[in-house]
Amino acid sequence: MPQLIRVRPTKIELVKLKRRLSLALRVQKIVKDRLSILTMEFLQTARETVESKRNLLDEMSQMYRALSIAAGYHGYVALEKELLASKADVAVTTGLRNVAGVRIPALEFKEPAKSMRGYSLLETSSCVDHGAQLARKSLKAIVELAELQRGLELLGMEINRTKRITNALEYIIIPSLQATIHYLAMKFEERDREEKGRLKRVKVLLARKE
Amino acid sequence: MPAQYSGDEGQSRYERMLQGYLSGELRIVNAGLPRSQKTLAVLLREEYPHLLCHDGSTQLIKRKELDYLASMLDAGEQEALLLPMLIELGGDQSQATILCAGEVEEKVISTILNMPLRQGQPLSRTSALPPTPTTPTTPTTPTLPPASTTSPTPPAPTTSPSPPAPTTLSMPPTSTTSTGLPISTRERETITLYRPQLALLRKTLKTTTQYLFPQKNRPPQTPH
Repeated sequence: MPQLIRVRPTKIELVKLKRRLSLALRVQKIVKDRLSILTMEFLQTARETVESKRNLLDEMSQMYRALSIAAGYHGYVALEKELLASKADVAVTTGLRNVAGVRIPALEFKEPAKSMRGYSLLETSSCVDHGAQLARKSLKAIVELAELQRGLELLGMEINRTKRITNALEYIIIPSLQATIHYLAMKFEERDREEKGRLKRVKVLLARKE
Repeated sequence: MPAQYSGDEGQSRYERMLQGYLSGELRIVNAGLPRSQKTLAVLLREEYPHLLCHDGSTQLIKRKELDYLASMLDAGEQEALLLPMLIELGGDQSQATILCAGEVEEKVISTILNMPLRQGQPLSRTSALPPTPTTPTTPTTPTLPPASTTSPTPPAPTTSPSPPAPTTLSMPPTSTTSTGLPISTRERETITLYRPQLALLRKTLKTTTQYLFPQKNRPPQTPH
């Protein structure tokens, strides 16, 4: 049973309630649309996250395999010396993108203009090259996964919030507004009937007097 | 004041807050819309491609997507393609409409979805079904003028005096692609997509498409 809103039983209040109801219905429609879009995006992102995670794990395992081969070929000390020289900053372009009102971070791995590896090409073999190449790929996958996972979290939170709003609108706000409008309309009809009866009574009294 | 109105002040404050909250919801959904669209060519020239949104924030456009779009368009088309493409959600939850100024969008979308967009069909869901093979489609279907014209001309009416009832139309095998998705329809300045197609499009173009929630409910599209 929806709860009645406490209002003065006046026509102005009825008009206000009707306006409020139309706004609530409009918002409900938009919120429902938004919820369906957010759910679609969430499922899409979840699928991509799983794919990206699998991809990252594959690439990481390949990279470590290549690195261990390189370490076996050159020796740990020599490899560490070469890798120290190859330290470089990672450039990632960051920004936001808006999905139906949710701001999701957008990250993009920036490819370096020149493929400067830093280590000596003369003293290293193709195993190190291969490892470095796979490491770069893994970095790219990490950035991609970070973006997807954060997006998934944000979308999930927003879906929860939107669901609460939809439920509140559907089960509390709109029914109570409708019930109050119905109650006021009945009250006004009753008042009209009373007024009509009163007028008839007055008419009879006046006729008796005359 | 009677006892039953004792909570009136508190109630109205609560109601006002609720009203504000609901109005805020309407603002939130369209806050990410861009102030103005940029062409693909302009975005390609920018070092960090971005767009300014209505709420003052900036939206990053991924270069990977721009490069992908550029790979399928020539220089003239790159100047014509406005980004982000706006996806309007209509009354029907199973469909979405892409607002497009020209035919470049059509080319992009048909390339991404890997399916042709049929032109000149009415947009309503039932009438999106193709007519039966016995119906002569060519004379009754008017050819569309270039969609880039911005003059507010009304939709071209069909010359058929009484279009067949949508319920009588059957779905021939040509109405779906090999992937099983129904073919989208292209009307003047809009492209109607089904939800699975929209998901596919959004997967490819995450930052170069944007949702638009209409504030006023559109009347349902009826067959012409």
